[in-house]
Amino acid sequence: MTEQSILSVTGLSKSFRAVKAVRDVSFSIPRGKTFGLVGESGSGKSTTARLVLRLVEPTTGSISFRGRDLAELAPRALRAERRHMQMIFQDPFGSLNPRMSVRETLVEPQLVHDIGTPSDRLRTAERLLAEVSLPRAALDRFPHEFSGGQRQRIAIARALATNPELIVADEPVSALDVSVQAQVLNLMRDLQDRHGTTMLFISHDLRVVQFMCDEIGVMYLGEIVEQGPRDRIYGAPAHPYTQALLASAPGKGSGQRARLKGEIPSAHAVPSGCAFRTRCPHAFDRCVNEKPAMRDIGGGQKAACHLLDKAEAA
Amino acid sequence: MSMTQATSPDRLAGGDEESFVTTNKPVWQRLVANPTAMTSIILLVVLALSAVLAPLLAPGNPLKVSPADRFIPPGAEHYFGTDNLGRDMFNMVLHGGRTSLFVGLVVTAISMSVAVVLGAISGFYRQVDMVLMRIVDGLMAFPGIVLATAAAAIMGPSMSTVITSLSIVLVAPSLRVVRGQVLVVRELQMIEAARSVGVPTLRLFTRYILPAVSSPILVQASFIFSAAVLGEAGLSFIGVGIGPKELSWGNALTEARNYIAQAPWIVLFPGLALMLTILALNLLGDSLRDILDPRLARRR
Repeated sequence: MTEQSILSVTGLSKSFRAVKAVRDVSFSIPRGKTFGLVGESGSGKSTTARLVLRLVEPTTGSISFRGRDLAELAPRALRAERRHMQMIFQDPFGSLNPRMSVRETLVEPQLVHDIGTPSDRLRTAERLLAEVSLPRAALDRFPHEFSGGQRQRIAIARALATNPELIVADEPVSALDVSVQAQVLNLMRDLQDRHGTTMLFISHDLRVVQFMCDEIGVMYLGEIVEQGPRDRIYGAPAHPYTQALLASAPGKGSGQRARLKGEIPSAHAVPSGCAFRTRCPHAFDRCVNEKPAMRDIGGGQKAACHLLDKAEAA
Repeated sequence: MSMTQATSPDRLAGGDEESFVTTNKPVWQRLVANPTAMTSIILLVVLALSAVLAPLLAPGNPLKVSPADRFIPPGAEHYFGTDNLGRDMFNMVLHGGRTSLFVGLVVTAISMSVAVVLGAISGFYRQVDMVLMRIVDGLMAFPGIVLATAAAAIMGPSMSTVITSLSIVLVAPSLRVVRGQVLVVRELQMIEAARSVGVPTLRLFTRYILPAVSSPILVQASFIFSAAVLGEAGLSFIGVGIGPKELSWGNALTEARNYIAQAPWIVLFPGLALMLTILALNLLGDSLRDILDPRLARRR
């Protein structure tokens, strides 16, 4: 990991009154790479995405982006900085303004960041449309005239309009049909290769994350419990939660690992000690009393589980 | 790039290109197809034209007194008959409509503009909302007729007094409507997406929030228009309106009520004009709501 990190998040937490949605999350993404956050719904993935972009104000923590701490920026400076970080949302029906044509939608980010002349902006809009493989005729159409997959491609084009260095994609394909998912994912990877964009990719779908991401963080109840390079996470998962998650995935699962039982506990009442202990097949006394620390297990992989201590001691 | 690694396929199998989805009919086409909406629009156009063209259709001073021609029933000479002072009622209804519709228009414009600006701010900023909504509560608890009477007593009965007091009274319910809609719209993902793009707050209002709340605002405006016309007539009728020197439907009714048994047409025509205006505006508001928001449409 010698490359320069473009985004580095440290100790990020968010509480909504009594609910601790995100707890002490830290990770960093090297330039041009994709970092994936996986976990069940309610694990705090989407909140983390919004915290990184400061669409939601963090309770504590720092977000170092392009060498500045986003958490400290004044509103005006933050708005200007948004030029370099864009977001793709889960719902392509909701994230586009139904009253703006595709042309206006693609010009808008350039306009608000004062990029280029009006004719430059239009040319960029046309180029973006071509990049997401939509015909030029789509320019004067409105979002309701497109299918879900097409809309999501418009949203991707909008996210690219300011040529950002970071794109945060929050479940960008989970609202789409499976056949369309593949199209959109291929497109996102192609575009990332072409533009060298760094990406924070949120998904609950392990196969999607495996396809898209270089580095993966597994979230449970607002915390990252395991993190490491894609092949290590999929090949040698160290945390019981990661193991269970992989075993629960359809078509995967060796049958030897325990599948996930029950549902994720409420963030109102996070279990003491290790948050996962209520569903963990290996839980023992220490898990109730002591919160496991994140420990390095080599190869860039880190996990927070007391079992790893045992293994070390043995 | 080290994107392509051994464990994952280079390309996922993809679906075919989809064609564009068919579109809905635009609003104006649905408006034309709606008989209630079209009837009320035509009625309103006729009423508006008759008011605008009153000097041509009914030339001469509508207030000219002619004692010899008192209480002539409707006929070829005087379409709507004459009143107790021998004034031509056709003349009076047309010219009165100018005042009534003008007051309605101005009051609607003022109260809706204020409601849109303050409602948008109120729906967006929680602290302002607290203060503003208490003021609105106060306004709504205060009887409008008392406010109008007091205003007439202080400022003297005139058109500007009527417009001022009606605007103040009618701004409160509209402000509530706008605020409620903004509260809904601000939670839409489109707004979060716009913020993530970096759209400044003012532009967020004008390009994202206001267009999204324009339908209920339009519906509300048509109801406010009818309330304003009716309000002006009511105030003029009880004598705290635009004053006796000006002509309006309400004023015409005030004098006419003394002769209702003797010459019913003096009451009938201004009353009918008023009723048709209110009816058309309310029907238009209802059908606009049905067209713009199908979820609220009447179920059969």
